[in-house]
Amino acid sequence: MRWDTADDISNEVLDAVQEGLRHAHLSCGVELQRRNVALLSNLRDRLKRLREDSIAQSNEPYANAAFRAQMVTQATMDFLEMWVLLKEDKPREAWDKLIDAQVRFVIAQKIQFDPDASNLLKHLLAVERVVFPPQTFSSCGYTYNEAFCTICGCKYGECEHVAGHIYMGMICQKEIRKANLLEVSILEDLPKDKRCRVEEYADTGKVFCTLTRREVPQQEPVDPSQRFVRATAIRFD
Amino acid sequence: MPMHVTDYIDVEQRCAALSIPKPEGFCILPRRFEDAQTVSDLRHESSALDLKVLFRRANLPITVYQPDGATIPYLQENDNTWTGPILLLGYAVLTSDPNALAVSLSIIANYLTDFFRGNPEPVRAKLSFVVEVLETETKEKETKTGTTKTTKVIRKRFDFDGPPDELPGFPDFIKDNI
Repeated sequence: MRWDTADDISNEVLDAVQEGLRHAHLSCGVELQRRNVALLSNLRDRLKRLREDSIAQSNEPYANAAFRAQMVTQATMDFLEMWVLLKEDKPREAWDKLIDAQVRFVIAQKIQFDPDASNLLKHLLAVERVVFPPQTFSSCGYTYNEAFCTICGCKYGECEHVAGHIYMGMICQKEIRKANLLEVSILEDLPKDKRCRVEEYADTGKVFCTLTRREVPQQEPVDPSQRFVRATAIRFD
Repeated sequence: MPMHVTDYIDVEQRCAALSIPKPEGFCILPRRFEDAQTVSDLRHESSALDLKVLFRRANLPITVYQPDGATIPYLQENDNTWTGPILLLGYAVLTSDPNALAVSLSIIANYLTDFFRGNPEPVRAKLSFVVEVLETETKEKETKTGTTKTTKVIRKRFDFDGPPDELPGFPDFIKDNI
């Protein structure tokens, strides 16, 4: 479909997202979920091109709107893919897709708050708690001497951009080129990135997956006093 | 109650103990400033750089304290809590700009609203202010004039640790306890 006005874009995104969410349930046919993923993927690519064109034309309202639409489309796609991956018995990948969906809806909310998206985020949180077993999270602390702004490339803190804010269809981040790892810890609380979690735990010398509860065969014997075997502490996107 | 107040150490003496110059004006102190053995134990919160930009944009410049000849690194922790730095508001700053405290907190509160926007999980923010105030002591002395008044600078530390939507109550808490 050709886009002539901002309303055209908005309507197409809304229709595609609503149709995607209509199929984002466990009982829905996997072939229908895959078809919606493909349709949303195509729409996301078109929105990405629109955002890039808007950036090239320095049209910030359009670039931000396209970025938001891209995030909402991609998040819906992630959520659908979560169900597909669960049906393919790929729970780790499914978990990551659910967290990606949450993160992208939150980014969309930062650009423009929408009560419907807020309810959807609560739904995704409920899915996390009902569909997956409770997870233990991990994190790492590190130090750095300087960071750089991903918007303008200046030393972070010297320019006017703030990490987490949206500028011309892009999210500002601190680019840390050199860091010193201080510690890796298991968190009592929530992590910044919920993809960082304990993936395997040990019980009486046997190792199990935290998502499937299946035993993970080991080549070496495991110390019976050990509780956590494998965790992800940081993810670079 | 996510706020509390304690007496704070003499910043000048602490700097002398660490062999570093005293911070000037409105500035951000590093973590473990109170008990570090050496300068290499000090770390700035990663959020210090964000606040530096936000305060500059609001015409309230703040310095992230870095002593000459040493670099205090920034610490990034990756839990879901926003950990703000310790902001030192010197007596001279508050005298020249009595609104500095209220403006600072307003900037931070607005920033945190954006920072946590859309987040469906319970959120938490931590932040500290060290405020210098003049304390006047009246002493009975056997002098020709009878009594003498002496003034000295004292410092109080105000900590906030709780949900960011309770941050608007922090300025009044500080004002009531100075």
